[in-house]
Amino acid sequence: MTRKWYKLLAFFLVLTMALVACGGQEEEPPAGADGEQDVPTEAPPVEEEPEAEEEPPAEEEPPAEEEEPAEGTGAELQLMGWSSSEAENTRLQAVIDDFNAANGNIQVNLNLVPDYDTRLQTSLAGGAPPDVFYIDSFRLPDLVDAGAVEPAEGRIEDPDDFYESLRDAFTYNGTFYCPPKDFSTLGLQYNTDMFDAAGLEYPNEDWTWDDLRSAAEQLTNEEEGVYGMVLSADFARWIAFLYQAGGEVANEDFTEMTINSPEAQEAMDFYVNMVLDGFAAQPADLDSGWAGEAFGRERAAMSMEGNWIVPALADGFPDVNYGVTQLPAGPAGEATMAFTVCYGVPADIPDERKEAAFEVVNYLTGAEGMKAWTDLGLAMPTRQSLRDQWLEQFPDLQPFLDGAEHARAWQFVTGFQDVLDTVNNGLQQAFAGTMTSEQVLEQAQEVGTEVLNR
Amino acid sequence: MASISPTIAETPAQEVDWTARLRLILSYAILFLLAFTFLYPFLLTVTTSLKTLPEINENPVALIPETWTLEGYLAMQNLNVGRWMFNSAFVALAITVGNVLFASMAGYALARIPFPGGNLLFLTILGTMMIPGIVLLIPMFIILKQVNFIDTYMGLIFPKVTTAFGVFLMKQFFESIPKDLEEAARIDGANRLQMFFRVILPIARPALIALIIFTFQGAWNDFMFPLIVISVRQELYTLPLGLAVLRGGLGESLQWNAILAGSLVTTLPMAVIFIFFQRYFLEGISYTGLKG
Repeated sequence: MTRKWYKLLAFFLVLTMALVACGGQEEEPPAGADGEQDVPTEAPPVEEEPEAEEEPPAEEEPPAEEEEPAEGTGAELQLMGWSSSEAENTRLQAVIDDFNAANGNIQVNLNLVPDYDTRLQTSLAGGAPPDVFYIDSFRLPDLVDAGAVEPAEGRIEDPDDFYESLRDAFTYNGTFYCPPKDFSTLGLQYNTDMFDAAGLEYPNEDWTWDDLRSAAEQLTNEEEGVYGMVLSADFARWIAFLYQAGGEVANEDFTEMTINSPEAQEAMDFYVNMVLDGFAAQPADLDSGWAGEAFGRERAAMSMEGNWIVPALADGFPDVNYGVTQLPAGPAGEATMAFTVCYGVPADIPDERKEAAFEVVNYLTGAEGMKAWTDLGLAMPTRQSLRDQWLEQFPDLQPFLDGAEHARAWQFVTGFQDVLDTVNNGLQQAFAGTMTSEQVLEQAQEVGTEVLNR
Repeated sequence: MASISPTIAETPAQEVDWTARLRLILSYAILFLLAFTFLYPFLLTVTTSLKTLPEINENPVALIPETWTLEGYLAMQNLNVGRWMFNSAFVALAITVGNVLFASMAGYALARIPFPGGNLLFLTILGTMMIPGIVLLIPMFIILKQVNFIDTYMGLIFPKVTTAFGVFLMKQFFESIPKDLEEAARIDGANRLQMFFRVILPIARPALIALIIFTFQGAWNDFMFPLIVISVRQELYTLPLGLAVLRGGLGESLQWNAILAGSLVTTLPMAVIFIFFQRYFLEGISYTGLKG
């Protein structure tokens, strides 16, 4: 009996191998994914909140190998990105379907993958990059220095139409690398019910740091565990205050760190003291995973997130009444951050493929494709020419879109992740009182100097 | 209990009874509490997958949903879950069968057949276990690409079809079997293969079961490896890969009900297998414990 069992096993094994072998012969090797990229950033999703799913590109055609375009002159291109909400995934697929329908000889296959960074890194290192891929602005310097990105300079239609802050986000060492797909900016969200209950006026565009602080103070009720504001120990949030105070991370051409300046000190003190004085708390102290959740649970009356908070609140906390305005102005005026993603084209694919890839990118970031993509009301158009028409559709999101006017790009130099980590860690400790804000800045300056000298 | 011997004290018997009963109740109470503590996360997974998102956000740890909904499961309807499940099962099964066959043969050869360099070979095999898997990702991708295994079942199965751990496990087990058995078989005229399949393998059942469990479970749950092998053909995704899609890109706000529904769908087949084969599982685990 046991003997039979092992025979069966052996038989099954052979069968399996045979099946597998047959299967293998049918499939064409695809032009792979892409990637290189190193560290995951904590930067907020430039997209909006991810929630759900991706819808698989209905039928997969076996992707053509790079050298040999599928049919005659036609090219089949891979566009790789990460999946976000189902609504967005579906819309992006629809936009691409439109492109495919209008273009006989270029067909695009949208491939939204889990664990994007690993996948991108593997396929770039493995020499099988996708023809078009998402690049987060923070990641751009690393990718460019690794020689992975083809400059888009001169190959994109009407680049001046993009907001300047977004063009900056994808310009590195003076070269424009890829056109922005969409973007988000930070705004100030306020809970209208909580403001009404406290008898306070709603925040508006003319607010200053002092207004923010005094409102936060009055909205705080520590006994009930409710705070005026939720602040994260996150460079990507504090940096808005740095710019509002007139500080800079480094000098113009990134040869010298300037993060340990009186302006930066002022911004750091303001940010950290909000927490130390008990007017603001971190998400974790409010039993939340991120600021939007703390705001949605009404444990904090204000938060400073990007437009991704809008769908997250609509899905997760539909009963919360809130408004949005721009971030308050600091001593040096207004500033916010722009988080954005672009469509990059890899440097090491044949020229004909690059041309086809740029054609796709031009469609997606051009007036027609951009309009179709952003009409969903989740992503914001990166072209100024689309602004008015988009605002007519989504007037509530105006503060976020207006942020583009004085937004700064979330992009530095290769290896800047180390500075990001240092500041995040320092903010955490400063909130806990185990480091002073001076020490945080000194450390950031030190680490940053090392990074710049590398 | 009823009193059997009336002369030898009714009272002490009853007293003993009471303390024993109390002790029993107490230990059951403790066991119940512990069981509940361990079961709670699982129960929570089940019920949370049936809650609405706002409710999850409001009170994440409440066990009973106020509104029951299939939202989480409906989120999966656009995903090719059936196909992914088939892929997972097929790949895990093929890998398991391969491991059972090759690891036991290699283990047997290393344990019983002396050949030059055998020890060195064994050490080399062991050495590969010391290399963290993550380091191998990119080299693996490059090799798989060169042999055109990217985006194929072959790519998912072939590199995993035998493992150093399996060889090690089987070798150690075979070494613990007395040689007399084989010698007896040889005297009866069995050749090496007959000896292996008829005498040795049947005895090795506990080790094989342990190997099957580890391999199958490892293959079923693996995420990183399928991630790099399957590039564009989403119909070749395995379950963990496919369901990772539910998590979305950067995870600011998560669709918890969908994620938990997805993890239930992934876990359930393993759980069912475990319940059915519980006896063998425990047997296998205790044997590996013994052989350490």
